[in-house]
Amino acid sequence: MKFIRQLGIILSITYIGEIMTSRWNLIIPGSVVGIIVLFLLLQFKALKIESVEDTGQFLLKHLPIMFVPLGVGVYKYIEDIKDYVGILLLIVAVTTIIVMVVSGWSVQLLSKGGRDHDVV
Amino acid sequence: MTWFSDPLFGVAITFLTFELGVYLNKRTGLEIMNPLLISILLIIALIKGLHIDLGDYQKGGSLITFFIKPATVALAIPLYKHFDLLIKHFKSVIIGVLSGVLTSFASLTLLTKWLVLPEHIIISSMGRNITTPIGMELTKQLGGIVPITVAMIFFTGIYGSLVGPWVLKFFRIRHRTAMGIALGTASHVVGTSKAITLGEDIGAMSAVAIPIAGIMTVLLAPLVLKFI
Repeated sequence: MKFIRQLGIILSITYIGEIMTSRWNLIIPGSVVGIIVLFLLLQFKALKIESVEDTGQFLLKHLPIMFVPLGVGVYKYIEDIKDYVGILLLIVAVTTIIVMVVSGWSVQLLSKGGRDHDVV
Repeated sequence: MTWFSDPLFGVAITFLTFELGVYLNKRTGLEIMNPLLISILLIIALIKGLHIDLGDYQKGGSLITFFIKPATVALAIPLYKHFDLLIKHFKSVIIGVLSGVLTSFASLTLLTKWLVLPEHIIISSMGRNITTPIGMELTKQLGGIVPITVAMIFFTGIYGSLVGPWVLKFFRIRHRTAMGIALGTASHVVGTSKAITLGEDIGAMSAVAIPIAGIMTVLLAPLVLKFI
């Protein structure tokens, strides 16, 4: 029952986020609004972490499988983009690494004081 | 072929192929044996080979993707638990994500200039490293082609989560906050699902980067386009 109750809370907050986005035409998607709503509820103690944690962690742990049907869906667009697939893949392959390295280095350089969180 | 039109077909085949991917991944210990990738490729091969309608598969598939939204909302949990980490590194997190977003624009511009690509490809690629719902909105706003963006966001996520741990190691990104921000900024939610496996705090920082990177990209993209 605990699982169902927690899922109910999370789904309700997700719904609230979606409604807020469509109602006020926000550029931020509903699920991101949902993150903010849930975070604020936790931060201001309106909701205890124990009331969402188990189911929430379960959902997060199994996030990868949820992307499978989306990935299969991309196949539908392959026809539309087949002339560019090589180029698109090249853009992704090159720029993703550069973005990762630059943002990672920036944080690392600026957080020199935070050595306690270093792995090594 | 009415057997495939039951939603349970899509659900079952997704779980089975994913489970097979998990097994192969454990068995070989290879990063490329990614369960997500294996599952997708097997399903595509299957529906192509047996001439199954993609819509039939998606009847079950949509039941699984339904959970992406609540799972995304659940990212508030690690964020709440590691909020002190974000506050402590607030300035470096903001600057880190911003530098990632600007690098994304700069590298895209240079690459597309060099390859002489049509404008709609450039426009549709601007949001490739941010989360799907924000990226789609951005492309619509800029007048690009949404399927291109969706495909690129997907490639970016899978690719980022595949090479991410290796890139972090190779470029000596060891600070845990930096690792999370790097994965989240470069490869959104799919990268974050990888970040969670590296550590809960890394996952939390990766999750923090997603909306920040998304909002910064949406706000800056129109300005950047003026200068291209």
